[in-house]
Amino acid sequence: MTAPTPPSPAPSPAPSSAAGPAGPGGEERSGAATEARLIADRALACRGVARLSGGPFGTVATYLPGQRLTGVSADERDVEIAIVATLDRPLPQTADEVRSAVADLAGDRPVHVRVDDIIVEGT
Amino acid sequence: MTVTVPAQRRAPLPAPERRGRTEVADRVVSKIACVAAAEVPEVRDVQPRGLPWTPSAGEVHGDQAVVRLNVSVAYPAPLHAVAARLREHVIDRVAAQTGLHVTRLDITMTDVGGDLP
Amino acid sequence: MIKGMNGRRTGRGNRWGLALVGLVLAILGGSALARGLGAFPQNWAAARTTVVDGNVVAFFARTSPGIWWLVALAALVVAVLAVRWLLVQGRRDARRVLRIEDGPTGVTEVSESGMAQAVAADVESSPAVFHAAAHLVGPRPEVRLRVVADESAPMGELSRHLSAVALPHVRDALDRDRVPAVARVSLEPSPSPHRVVR
Repeated sequence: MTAPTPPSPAPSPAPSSAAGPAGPGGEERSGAATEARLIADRALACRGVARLSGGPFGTVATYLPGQRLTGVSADERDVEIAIVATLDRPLPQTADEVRSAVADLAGDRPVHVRVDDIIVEGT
Repeated sequence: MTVTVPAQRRAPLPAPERRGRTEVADRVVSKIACVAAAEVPEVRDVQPRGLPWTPSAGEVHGDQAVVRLNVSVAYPAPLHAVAARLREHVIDRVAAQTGLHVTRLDITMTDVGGDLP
Repeated sequence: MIKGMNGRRTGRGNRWGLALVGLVLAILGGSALARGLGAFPQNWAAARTTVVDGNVVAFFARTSPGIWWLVALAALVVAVLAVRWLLVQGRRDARRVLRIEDGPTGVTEVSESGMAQAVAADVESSPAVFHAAAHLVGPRPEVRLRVVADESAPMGELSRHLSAVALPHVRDALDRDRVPAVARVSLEPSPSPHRVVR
């Protein structure tokens, strides 16, 4: 879970290049924000992922400056992604695709994928 | 603000113990079970039968799941055979779609009647 | 049938109980309002005095400790009535089911009323039958039928329909070799505009 981030300069993809008044802490947080966004975008691009979900109580989320990114929560221990899936193919395959799509961002951290809901045609 | 997605390098998955959990929510199992049950020909209608605190028919514990369904069945139909077919089909479908093993499927035929398809 | 009667009785009990509670509360609330507005004789219950005044305190002091036993008894009676009411609600809502299978992979149950409706509809499919009602009595299911039949139809038609169609369907559905059945048949004249179906 990422702590609420105070307003900081627009994050850039490379955390090291983000030199701003917020200092080292701000740099780190804006890096985390960028990371969460990247993870969300990559997860959404996977086949079988309809959208991201907040988990059962809306707890899977990252707080970014001025907004809330639902469905991704990454800290130094692990990465958590909650998705709403389609039934095009088995859910473990979708989860594994999400996992490999974000593997390089996650590094050593385990990536927990939670299939929070599915979309069934005709309902 | 726009974020461009960098070219995706598909890294090989890490070893299973490092990979992280895949969790499937109760309501996912519930929905898949309902869809599967409705595919059995003698079944005319399916409702998830939740417990008082949840409307979901499925309960996931680890890699196992328990499902409860209310169904309405055509008549005359051999109810035991319908139940057996239902159980088999729902267990197969949930396993294929989620990888979860349904250890128990409780069926209540709340409504009997209507022509066979 | 028994369930239906219970349901009706429960419904009547609910109505009376709720009416009584409502009446008591309305009287209490009305008198409090009346007292506050000074509608009672001011030398007996003045609007501006406290409800628990010296007289009330003196009454409890005089009758203590006996009065507290009475209060406890009244509370106990209310509690017993409340618990009984709760249990009765549960009984009415309990759907009666027939357990037709109980294995390690789950139980299968059939609603008795659902099954009974299907049997009744099946019996009614005979042209000799005007109206049928069925009840299932478990746990070894037994079928009780009330049939209103056409008195001008061939006598054999109804029994043939029951023994060759309706009851075999019940046996097949429940997967039982033997399902005892009792039918009460009343005969009525052929349809006329004034026929009353009971």
